[in-house]
Amino acid sequence: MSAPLIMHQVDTSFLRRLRAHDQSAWFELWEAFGPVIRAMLARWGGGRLGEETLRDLTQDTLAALDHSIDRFDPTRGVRFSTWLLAIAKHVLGDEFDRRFAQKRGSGRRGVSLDDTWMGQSREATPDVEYERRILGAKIHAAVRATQKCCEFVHFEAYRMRVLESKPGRDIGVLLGVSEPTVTRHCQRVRTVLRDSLRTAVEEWSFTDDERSEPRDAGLVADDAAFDDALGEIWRAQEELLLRDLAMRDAMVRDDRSTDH
Amino acid sequence: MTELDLAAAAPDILTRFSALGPLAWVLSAVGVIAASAALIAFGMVLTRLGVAVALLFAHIGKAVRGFGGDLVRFIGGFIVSLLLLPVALARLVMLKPVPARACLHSSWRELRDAGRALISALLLRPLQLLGFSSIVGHVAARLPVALDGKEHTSLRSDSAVFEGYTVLRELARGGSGARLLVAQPDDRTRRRISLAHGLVVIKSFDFDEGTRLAEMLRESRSLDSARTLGLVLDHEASQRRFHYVMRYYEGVDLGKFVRTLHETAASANVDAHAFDRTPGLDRERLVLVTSLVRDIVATLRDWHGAGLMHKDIKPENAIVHEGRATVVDLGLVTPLASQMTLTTHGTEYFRDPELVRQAMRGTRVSEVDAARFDLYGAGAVLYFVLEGTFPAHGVLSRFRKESPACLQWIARRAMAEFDARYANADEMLRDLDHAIFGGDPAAVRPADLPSMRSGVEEAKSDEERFLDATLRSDSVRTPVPPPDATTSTRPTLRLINWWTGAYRVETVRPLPQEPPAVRPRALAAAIGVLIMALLALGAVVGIAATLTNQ
Ligand SMILES: Nc1ncnc2c1ncn2[C@@H]1O[C@H](COP(=O)(O)OP(=O)(O)O)[C@@H](O)[C@H]1O
Ligand SMILES: [Mg+2]
Repeated sequence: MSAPLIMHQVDTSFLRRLRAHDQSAWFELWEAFGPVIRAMLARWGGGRLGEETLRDLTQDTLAALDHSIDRFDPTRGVRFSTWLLAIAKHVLGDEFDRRFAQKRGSGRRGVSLDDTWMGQSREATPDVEYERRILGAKIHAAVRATQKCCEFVHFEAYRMRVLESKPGRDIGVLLGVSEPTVTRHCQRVRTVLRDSLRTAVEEWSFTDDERSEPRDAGLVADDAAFDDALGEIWRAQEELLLRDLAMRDAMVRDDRSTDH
Repeated sequence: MTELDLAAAAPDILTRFSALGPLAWVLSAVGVIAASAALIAFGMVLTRLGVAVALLFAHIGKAVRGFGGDLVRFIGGFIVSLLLLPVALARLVMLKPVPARACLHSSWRELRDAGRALISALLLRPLQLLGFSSIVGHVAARLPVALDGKEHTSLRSDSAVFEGYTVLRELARGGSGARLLVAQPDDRTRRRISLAHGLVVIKSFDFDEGTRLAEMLRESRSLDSARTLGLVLDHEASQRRFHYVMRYYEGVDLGKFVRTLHETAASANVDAHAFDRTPGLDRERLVLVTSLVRDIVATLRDWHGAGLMHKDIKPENAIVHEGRATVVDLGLVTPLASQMTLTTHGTEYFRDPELVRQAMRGTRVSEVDAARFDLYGAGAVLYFVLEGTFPAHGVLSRFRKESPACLQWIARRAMAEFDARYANADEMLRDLDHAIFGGDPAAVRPADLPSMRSGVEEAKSDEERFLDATLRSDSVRTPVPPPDATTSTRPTLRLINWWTGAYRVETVRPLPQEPPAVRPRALAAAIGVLIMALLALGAVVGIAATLTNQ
């Protein structure tokens, strides 16, 4: 594949909007990838980072991304996920530097992030789980976008059918419509969802292998297979997010119990 | 003189009397009047005495009953706390640290409550018996706070002195950093702020205590709006501080309340956790918590009607007070017609993402139907009461606990995309009412909700309508009767421990009419009058006898 073509492809509307410092693009980024970044930061932090700090760091990461966007060279073939991770690492590194500096009672910010604490953490390199989370986040964003432009009842039908794997007949009873009507609702939503998914992946991918991830995950297929794949990824993603939340809850509870 | 003699003597008295002439008549009339006056006075004194004795007995009775109640609470709490320990141990052995911890926590709570009951029994009740009720009241107000270790030593410092108010205790602070002081207004202040009874909360922003100007300004701007709702009783701004006064709603915030309900439900179902879907609240609790959300939505309807939005609807900003939820925190109240740009203030997970998006675009409040941002919060609160946790993914959050489909639907509808969600609080309210007051919420389908009944039919083809009709005819459910608030079986909270604030959930059933209790004061008065009548009779007879002897 020739270089100009890559350049063309990575110059997505999202990058353009970020470059123009479009606040809502920034918010979309936060909405989509905030949870993933937060989970990664929490993992690397190994329980040393409180909830507040995590939230701040997530914010810092996305702000840093917003700032570095001008200097970012998309032709180098770096994955979007890798880029995001690099920035998060950098932000976390800054935080730890600051802590070290404070502990030593000096203003020195000399500890380079890669050869100190970063080196100790094996998990700080991109791994399968991280990549899964990033793809999951894109799908999440696509579903959210779909929910926005579909009729509420239609979307609910699809959500119950595919994301909760409820039988069509049961959904019909709940909604007071026939099963064929449920199928029709789902059909409408699926069409929109396929589109949204293409857009999301296009916007948040820099390389070809990132762009082909949905296909590899079975998301470019006939309706039944598409639904199956989507439902599966969705539920897996939910599990991941729930685990993050459980960890967070445990942290909050610890905070509370020390209050007393 | 015996009665018999008297009966025999009566005719004799009358003949002698008539022989005495007019003077005697006048004299005896005066004598009788004087005697009656004396007797009435005596009777009145006696009545008072009777009342006093009755009140004394009532007082002693109350103290003794209170003492007995305290003892029972102490013993009960102590035993429960002991009993919980082996359970906790067993759970620990079964490698279930979370329920074990919950169990230990409950045990500690019981023990603490037992301790309070003991202090009350041994120290406060005797004091109350000796007539030091106000001291007891004061200690009762302060002790739980002190025991919880949250007492703020600075209560008596300058920053907590407000003219016309006696500060009793401090509440835990919310997000704004303001101090919240529970206080008692003096009589003059009560008249000024037209508050006949009850305590107040003083929300105070103090520069010296780290309040930033921006926060103070924001709050004071909201205050202007909230004043139109009549919720602000009093306010004052000075160079260093700014405070306002609102009614105090004694109770717990909805967040704590719901978490406790879910914790107890969870510890009752520890082994059910293995399943994919954990059981949620039982029906009574479910209806109770939903009716609390209903209260919030009804409040929103009123506020929106008055042209204001709350902007920070969340469980912590609703107080469960006398079985109802009352919305507090006027910190972000904004006129719907405001020309200001939207701000992102609010609380994560309860704040509409659309609000953030619009705020980032610099949209003015008046340019959007901002009341819908509050509805999002109400939907998130509904999710919270059903699940015991916040909706981490907004409208896409999954329900993991068992709860009626119609309630889940309402929560999602309220959190849906801005244009797809309920158009106003009233629409949401009608759905909620239908779900909880129409019988069993579990039997209500989303399709039965009032918001779903309009506009669905037109969009269907003939074939679909035919299919729907067949489907409906073979479905087993019976139609839900129209909502009727008067027949609602809304569960209420019954305070089982005024000392600790412990409560129990109860369903209200119409109680058989109890005979009106005889009040001690009335009883004493009746006895007094009876005695007086007897004495009067005796006196008349006495006078007559004296005259006879002459
Ligand atoms: N009028 C009131 N009656 C009872 N409790 C109150 C009242 N006002 C506030 N509270 C309690 O104090 C907490 C903090 O008050 P709030 O006004 O919400 O402050 P903030 O703006 O800092 O969040 C509330 O969450 C609530 O639990
Ligand atoms: Mg608050």
